[in-house]
Amino acid sequence: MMDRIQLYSFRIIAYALYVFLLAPLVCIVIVSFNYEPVQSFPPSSWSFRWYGAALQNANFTNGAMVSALVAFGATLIATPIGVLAAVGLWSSTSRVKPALEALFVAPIVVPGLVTGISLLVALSAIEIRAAPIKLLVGHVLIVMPYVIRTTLASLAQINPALKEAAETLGASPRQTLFQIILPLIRPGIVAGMIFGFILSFDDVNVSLFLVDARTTTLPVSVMSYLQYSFDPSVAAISSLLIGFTFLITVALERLFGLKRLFAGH
Amino acid sequence: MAHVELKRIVARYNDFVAVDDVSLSIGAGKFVTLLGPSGCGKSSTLRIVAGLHKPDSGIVQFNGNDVTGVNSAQRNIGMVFQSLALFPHMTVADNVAFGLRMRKAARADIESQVKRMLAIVRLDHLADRFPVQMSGGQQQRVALARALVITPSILILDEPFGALDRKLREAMQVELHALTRQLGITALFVTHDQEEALMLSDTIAVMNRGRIEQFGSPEDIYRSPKTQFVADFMGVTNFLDGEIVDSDATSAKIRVGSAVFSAPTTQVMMAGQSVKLAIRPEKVVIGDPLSPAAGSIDGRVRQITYHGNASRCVIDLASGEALIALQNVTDASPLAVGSLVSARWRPEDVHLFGA
Repeated sequence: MMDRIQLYSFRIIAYALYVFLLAPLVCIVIVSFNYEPVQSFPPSSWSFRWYGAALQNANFTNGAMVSALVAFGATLIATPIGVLAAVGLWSSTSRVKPALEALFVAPIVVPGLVTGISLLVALSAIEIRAAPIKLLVGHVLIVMPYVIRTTLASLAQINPALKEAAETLGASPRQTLFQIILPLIRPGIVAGMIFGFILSFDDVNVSLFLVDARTTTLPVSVMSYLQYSFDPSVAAISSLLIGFTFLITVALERLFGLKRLFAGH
Repeated sequence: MAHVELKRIVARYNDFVAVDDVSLSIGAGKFVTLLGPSGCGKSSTLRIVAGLHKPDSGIVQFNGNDVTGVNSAQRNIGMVFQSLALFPHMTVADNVAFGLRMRKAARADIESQVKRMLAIVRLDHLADRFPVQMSGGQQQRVALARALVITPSILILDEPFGALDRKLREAMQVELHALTRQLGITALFVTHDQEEALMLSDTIAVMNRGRIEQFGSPEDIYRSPKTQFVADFMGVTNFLDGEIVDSDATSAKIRVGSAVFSAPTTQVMMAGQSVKLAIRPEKVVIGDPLSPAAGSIDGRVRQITYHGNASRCVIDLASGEALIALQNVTDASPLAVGSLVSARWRPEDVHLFGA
């Protein structure tokens, strides 16, 4: 009897948590189909018009393009740096290794606001004023710690003797890296890249200080749009993002199996 | 196949001296075992031969060439790791081919070599499997094949059978013995298992606290341990305190409690000197205390345990020491816990050590 009560109360709490997490998302998707030019819930009449409006809004489409390019570029730059840093940390027996590890993942802990302002000041001090470059630098800092963390998690699962085995068989350090270590930690690297890409695409705090009038990321333009209008086109663009993320997740699950990806095997 | 020589090797980890002035010669085609308890320096010595650790001083020579500064990849060694360290993302064939590919061997050559080696370890039918799909014994043979296919100067094995169950372990020992003799390969083996060492080796180096206590053939080490540590490690578990009564160049009389025993010696010992008598449990004969023979000691049976082919008796002596005796089970022995017995042994079964 007690067991049943425990089981049911556990289930109720679990479902309540799901509702709490998912309800806002469902809500915004519903609102995006509202016909009226206000974000009211529930909608009184239905339409797709705000999807059209959102996709015709140059601020949104340009922003999406910038966000995608920045996230892609930052992931491309941060991944090799992050992977090499992680492998270096893994191989190191130095006494400052824990300190270095903390330093490398520090950008996760430092508030994005602080990172953004610091970069703004530092980059203008060295005369870098082009928004795309500033954004790229900032977003490399967003992606890299995730790549390092997931790669380190994968490396922790590797038997260190594998490295020595390769060495005794005549492999150079470079051959050991490319033929033994990298293939084994690929799931961790891919997981970090995806994490990093999504967080970069999603970022407001850091980007806010690095954009300019001509180059703005999607989340920043959504935010500034919200300051002047409250029509459901924002809900529409959000719904598109939700769908996009959902598709990536399903594709990853199909391709790799997400559990495997995050467990590092 | 190479002649490998270690000269005055010292290795320290911070303040701990892991290898303390070790010199060792491994003849071409010989199977040498480093035997000792954990922490005795055997694995450090092995890693120095493999080039995975640089000694603080001393020289490693392969065929007379100094390779102390040569890193592992250039030493042409074959190593079998304790964890086997098979590459999990490669098939058996790719694992075995790895060393040859690193040596940039021709593709056709690699293929035939891998095939030949897999046939030798009887795994040719499993070439396309991944290591996780194989049993422990099969993985072991893959590790051996991977190390041997490159025709290494020396095969180095770091307690490779530790994780196997007893039956498989014995099978692998037999296989390794046959394989190394068949290929005439120089091998350095590390273990803490004395039986394994006795069975596999041409020569055994018993190590303790970073030093080699004794270096000799299995018979030597087993029959005439030079130090108390070696005797203890080779299964001589009885050590009795005694005092020399009389001695000449070949034998001595020693008093233990109220009994006097004879033992062989190699030198004259001074009367009154304290010594330890070491006797293997299987050499102790238990008899009736009512008909005392010369050179026997009385005691009371404290414990009897059954070990299949033998019973193990613990006998408390008057001195407070305990004596362990292995008795053949087929003997009709009316032994019971608490009974008084008289223990004796042949003089030639006694090893004498300075106390």
